[in-house]
Amino acid sequence: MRIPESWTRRQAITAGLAGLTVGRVGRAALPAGGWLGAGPLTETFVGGQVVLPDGSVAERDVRVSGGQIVEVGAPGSMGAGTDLSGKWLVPGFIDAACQVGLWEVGLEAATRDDAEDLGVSMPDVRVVDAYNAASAVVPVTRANGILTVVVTPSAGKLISGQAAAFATAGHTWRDALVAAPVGLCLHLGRAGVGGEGGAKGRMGIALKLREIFESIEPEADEAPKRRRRKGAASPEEEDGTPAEAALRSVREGKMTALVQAERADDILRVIELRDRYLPRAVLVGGAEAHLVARELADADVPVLLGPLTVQPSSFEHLHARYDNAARLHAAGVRMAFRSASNHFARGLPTEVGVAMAHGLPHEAALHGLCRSAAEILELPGHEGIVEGAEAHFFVAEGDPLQPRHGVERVVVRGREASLETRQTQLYERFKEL
Amino acid sequence: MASAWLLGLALTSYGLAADFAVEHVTLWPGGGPPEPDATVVVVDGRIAAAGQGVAVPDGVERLDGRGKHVAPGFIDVHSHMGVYAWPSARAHGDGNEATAPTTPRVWAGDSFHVSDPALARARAGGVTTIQVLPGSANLIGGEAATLKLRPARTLAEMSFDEAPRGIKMACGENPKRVYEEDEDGPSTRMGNLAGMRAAFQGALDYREARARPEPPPTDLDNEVLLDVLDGEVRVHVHCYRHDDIEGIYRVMDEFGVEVSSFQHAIEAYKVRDLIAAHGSGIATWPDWWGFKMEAYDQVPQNAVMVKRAGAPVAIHSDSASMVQRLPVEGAKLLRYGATEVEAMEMITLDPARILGVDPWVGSLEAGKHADLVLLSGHPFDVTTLVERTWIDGELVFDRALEGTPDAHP
Repeated sequence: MRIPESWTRRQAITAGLAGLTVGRVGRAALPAGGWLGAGPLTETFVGGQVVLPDGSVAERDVRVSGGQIVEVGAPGSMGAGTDLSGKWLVPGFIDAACQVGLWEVGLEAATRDDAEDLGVSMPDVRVVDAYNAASAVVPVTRANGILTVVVTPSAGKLISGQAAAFATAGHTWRDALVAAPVGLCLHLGRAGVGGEGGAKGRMGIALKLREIFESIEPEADEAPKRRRRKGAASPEEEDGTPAEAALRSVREGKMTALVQAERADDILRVIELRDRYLPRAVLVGGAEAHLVARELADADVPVLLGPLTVQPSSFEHLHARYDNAARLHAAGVRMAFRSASNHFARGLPTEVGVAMAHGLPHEAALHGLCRSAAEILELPGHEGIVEGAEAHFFVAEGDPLQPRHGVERVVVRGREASLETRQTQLYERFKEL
Repeated sequence: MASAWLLGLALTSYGLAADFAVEHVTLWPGGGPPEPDATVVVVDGRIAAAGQGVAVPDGVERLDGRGKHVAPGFIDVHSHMGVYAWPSARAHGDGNEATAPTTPRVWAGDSFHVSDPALARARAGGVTTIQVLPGSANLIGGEAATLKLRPARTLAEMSFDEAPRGIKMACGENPKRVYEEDEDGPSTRMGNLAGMRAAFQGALDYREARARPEPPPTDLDNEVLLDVLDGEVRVHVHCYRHDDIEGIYRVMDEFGVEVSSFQHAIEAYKVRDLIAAHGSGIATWPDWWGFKMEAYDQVPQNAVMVKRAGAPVAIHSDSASMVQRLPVEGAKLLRYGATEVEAMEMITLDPARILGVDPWVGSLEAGKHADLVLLSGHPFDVTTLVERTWIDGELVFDRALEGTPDAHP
């Protein structure tokens, strides 16, 4: 035996057990779906700093009954309640594009459901078919105040599939579902290169997009009769295959097109695509968007911006800047924020904080995290902390954009949810050796 | 930023070091609590004095630090800047000599691209010293380069003359993944450790053979390994899982080699007593996880748990992006139980200890190199920016002139 003497038997046993940690923690029961208690929340919160729908902050009392916010009033207007003095009550943050729930461990292909390889154009591939509500990433994301995630397939194909939005609590994907499809994901530049028979570069991407969308006539340009399929039993069938139906839906502006582009010229191409084929195009990524901020504002193309700390580290975005968000905001571009990550979706509020350090106003930062994605993507709910809205918020130790402030409580879709994660379980297990 | 790059073309720096003092500033010494309304005096590129009630000598330029904070220059013990220079390109992949699992003879300095634009942005983040490491493909990947982030056209200008040598080793998933198809492996964890043992034993055999009448020719790999065995090179081991940490000690204890640090050290918290007892340190992130199996058991309390067990802990970046925001990473630790003083130590004095450069940098003590930063506000406020960075008393970044440096040219 080479085990040194200083390595005591007790320590050796502890270490041996630690090898079983994956199984052990896996078996430990987290609350079903992450929700605590039996039913909807009824509670009055007093004395806290409340983030209002426009992103401003004011002291308010908030009364919740049956999971609904029934009253938002002046300080002291509601008598006794849970004292939030010194704390903040914040509408749930939305990660506007990420891969939470689509994969568990980066280098383990068997745990990954984020990137299909069924051709260059996969408009009928759907995130809802893969989302894992029980992923260990979901509670970690929730415990950082991100209560809604818009989940997209990973880049690397021209059309990668249909995004969906989920709350970060829910026992099954159906429990967690907020909306699906949220949009069809397209990728320009290097992000759109890949797949068998796929484009090798931008000329090929443009050509493929022309081929795909020229073959689909929008309804307005065509007599309904011509589109009708022989023997079609339902309106769905009249639209052709699911893939054709999805493309038609995007072409007709019934479904949002989430178009990723990072280089400035690709971003301008998103505006052209919007005018030609994709009436409801939303820019995703936008590393160099500040270079074309005026064009984006004039065209009223909104942006799901991020990652916000993207660097001038690639020929795809040599002009990435920390003040990208600030410049877009100043130009009047509508934007929400995305982590473009999975395990690191938790870092989104800090990334927005860094954008704030470089000029993004505090109000715009909070509005961008709490409301913008819901407005841009027309997600139900997410009205914020206002009378009549569902309680979907968290209590933070202070300004939630400051990384030093933790999250103390979370309420997801009217019900209090747990802050327990795989990581808190590991911490508890090893805090004493 | 035309002005900034004209400046960059005209001079490689802002000019010669000048004596100066920052007065009425909140001073973070690097070890110990911050002192309000303090003064730091820099003379001849060294800290002359720092603290409250310090007199400013005549002829020294005075800067008013009211409302601002001063801290030691930040230190990143795990950088691949220069060896994976921007913009990312195949041609810039110079970090892993992945031609064999044991390549102690290579030196990261020989791969280092002095014109990597990421370096200027790290300076703008207040970073003054970096350890540039080879990648983690190899069991023994080569020697590290500890550099000062001076604006430079030659590597020699970036030399940290006093810094000890360091070597990068790696265990766990990376070497076995990179070499699993190779006939000689390694393809398992036991193969990893066997490969390290074989390398060290080979060096001892080589030493014996060299003492014989007909010695074998000089072998550069073995020469470096003998220096490691003689304790002349600090050992930094890329290592995630707790049982890999224990395994590294099994090998190193056998050969009497000390481990200066475990890099990444995601599961260090599980064996923090073992790490502290061996006198090693760790370098880790506050909250990165999940990118591979051995990073799945991360807890954000890892850093503070290991520090309180008595080991130095560096918050490292392993990233040309994160290195620009080390205080933001430090701020994250506060919500997981670290004190502000501990968090500051983890980006200044502790990384200096891990590199063995704490006699010269890492805190603002009289006599140390004048590597320091002027911050617009509290270091752990996310909205705070570095306003100025000095290395050896020389101003190497001034936000008022440069803004955040662009990546070109």
